[in-house]
Amino acid sequence: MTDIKIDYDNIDVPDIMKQIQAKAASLPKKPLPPKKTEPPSKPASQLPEPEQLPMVLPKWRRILLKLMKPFSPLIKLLILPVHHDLMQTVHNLYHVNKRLDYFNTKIEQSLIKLSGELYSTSERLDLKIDMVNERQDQISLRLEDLDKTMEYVKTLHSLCHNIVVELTKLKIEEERTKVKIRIMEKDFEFLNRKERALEKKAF
Amino acid sequence: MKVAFVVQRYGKEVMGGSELHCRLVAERLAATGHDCTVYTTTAKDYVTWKNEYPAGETILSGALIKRFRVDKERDIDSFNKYSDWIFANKHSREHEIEWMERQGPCCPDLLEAIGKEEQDYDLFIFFTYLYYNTYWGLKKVKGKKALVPTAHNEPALYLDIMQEVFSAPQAFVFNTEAEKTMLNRQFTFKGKYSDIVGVGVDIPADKKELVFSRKYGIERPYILYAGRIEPGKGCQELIDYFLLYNQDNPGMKLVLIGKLLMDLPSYPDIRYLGFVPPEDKNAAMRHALVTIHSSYLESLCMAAQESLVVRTPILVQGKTEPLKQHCLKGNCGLWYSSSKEFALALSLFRRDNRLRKIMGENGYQYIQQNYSWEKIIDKYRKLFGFLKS
Repeated sequence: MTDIKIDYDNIDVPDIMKQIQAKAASLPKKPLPPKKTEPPSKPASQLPEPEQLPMVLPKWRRILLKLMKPFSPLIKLLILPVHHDLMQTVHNLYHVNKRLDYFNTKIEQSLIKLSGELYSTSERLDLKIDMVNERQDQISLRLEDLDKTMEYVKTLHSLCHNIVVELTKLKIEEERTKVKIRIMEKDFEFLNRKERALEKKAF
Repeated sequence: MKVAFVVQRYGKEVMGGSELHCRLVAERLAATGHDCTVYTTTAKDYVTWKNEYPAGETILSGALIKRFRVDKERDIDSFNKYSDWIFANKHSREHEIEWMERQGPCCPDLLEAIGKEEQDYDLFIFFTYLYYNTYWGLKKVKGKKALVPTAHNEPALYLDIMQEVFSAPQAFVFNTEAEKTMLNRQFTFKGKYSDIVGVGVDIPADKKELVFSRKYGIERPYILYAGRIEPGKGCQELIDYFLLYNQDNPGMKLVLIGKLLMDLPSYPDIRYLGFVPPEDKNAAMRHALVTIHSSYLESLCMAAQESLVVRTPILVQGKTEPLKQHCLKGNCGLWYSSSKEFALALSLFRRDNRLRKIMGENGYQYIQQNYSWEKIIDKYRKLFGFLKS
């Protein structure tokens, strides 16, 4: 990798890629790895038993092997892929457990938050209901006032009507009186003239 | 502006690339005062289009969502068989219409609603060229319409009916220059408005505390893949390359985050974390040696943007042009086309921390300059201005 030259003050991606591609072309092709994770291991039947080992073993080793014989199934278990799988599963389970704990905590937190929100929403709703009830009372009072006002208006209307009628009658009466006065004035004038004529005749 | 979006799926739980793209754009535009309505289906799963959301209207982050039921679920096996046949054999237009029908999500109610309510909107924006509602919806809408193709080089792009899809809109919103170039080979955009826009990225708060490693029991160095874990996204190849690399360079871990859609080999150095909260994902990205983007089919790759915004360089699939463009334009990552190139690039990042830091900083600057939300919204404003005129 050391032969890839980079100008850090002026990074040139195409140039870096060219160097990578040239280097990749010079490398030998590698096969893809196997898909399974099992480590390469011999089947249990192929593992040599302590008895089958050559007799040239030193004494301390033979004693050690004899001492360990009761534990041979456990040792086999540790050597075989079962152990590897077991460790892997334990590892996976550990992480799953951690994630489950995390989700549990999250769910609990969300539930607490949700119940808090629900409580405050219901409180807000109660307040709103009280306000609405109060408003309804006020509205019914206003409606009563409105009914009264309407009655007053009706009365005022009929009063106005009566006044107009009376005023019209009075106007007619006035006209009649005016005519009578004019007739009386004329009568008076005639009587005056009669009076003057009679006076002339008399004196 | 009254903007209507048409997209195959929509919702908080829907994490697909173009669907999330649509949601982020709609929400941001709604936040800037536009009246945004989304026409979508009740489906959550893109494989079956099974009706899962309730039909009707809901509001999510300021955008009104109108969901319509999907007429029939997709039989993926039969669809795949039909696709294999149609892509390999001579066929008629009727066969292609049949293919579109099988592709789905078939939603005649959605199309009817678009037709009825078209007058209520200033313009329509369709997301993803590939689906039934886009094909028929573009025909239904007579007024102003734009298409966000989110296309990558795939066989469906070469069907004859796609000419109808790409000739209908007056405007196009591409994710990358590479996407536009690729589409330009097949379709003509002469006299039409087009812009490279993409989607914005939020810059996460800079947390110094390293809790991710402790929480998930992962020690550095590790490389991270975030997204759908499936062979179609190049994940099998990634795992093979990683195992080859680890034979000669032990001590590295591969961390996978997202929905698992394939079998993973049980190597202790490959760790699958499932779905993690966004802050954990950001922390995982921030502390990764590099993030890997192995997909062959990408038009933008939001995961790469998220990685660059936390100053972690990217190592991407060399055969995916939009991903390569990120590396080249931002000087913020490398690519691989073989296991040897993968190993060499990874070794370089592992050995050369200075290069990694410089590339991380370059990536951050690249995102700030090209994919900040202000820039994205500004580009959409220009698009609206064009369509209004």
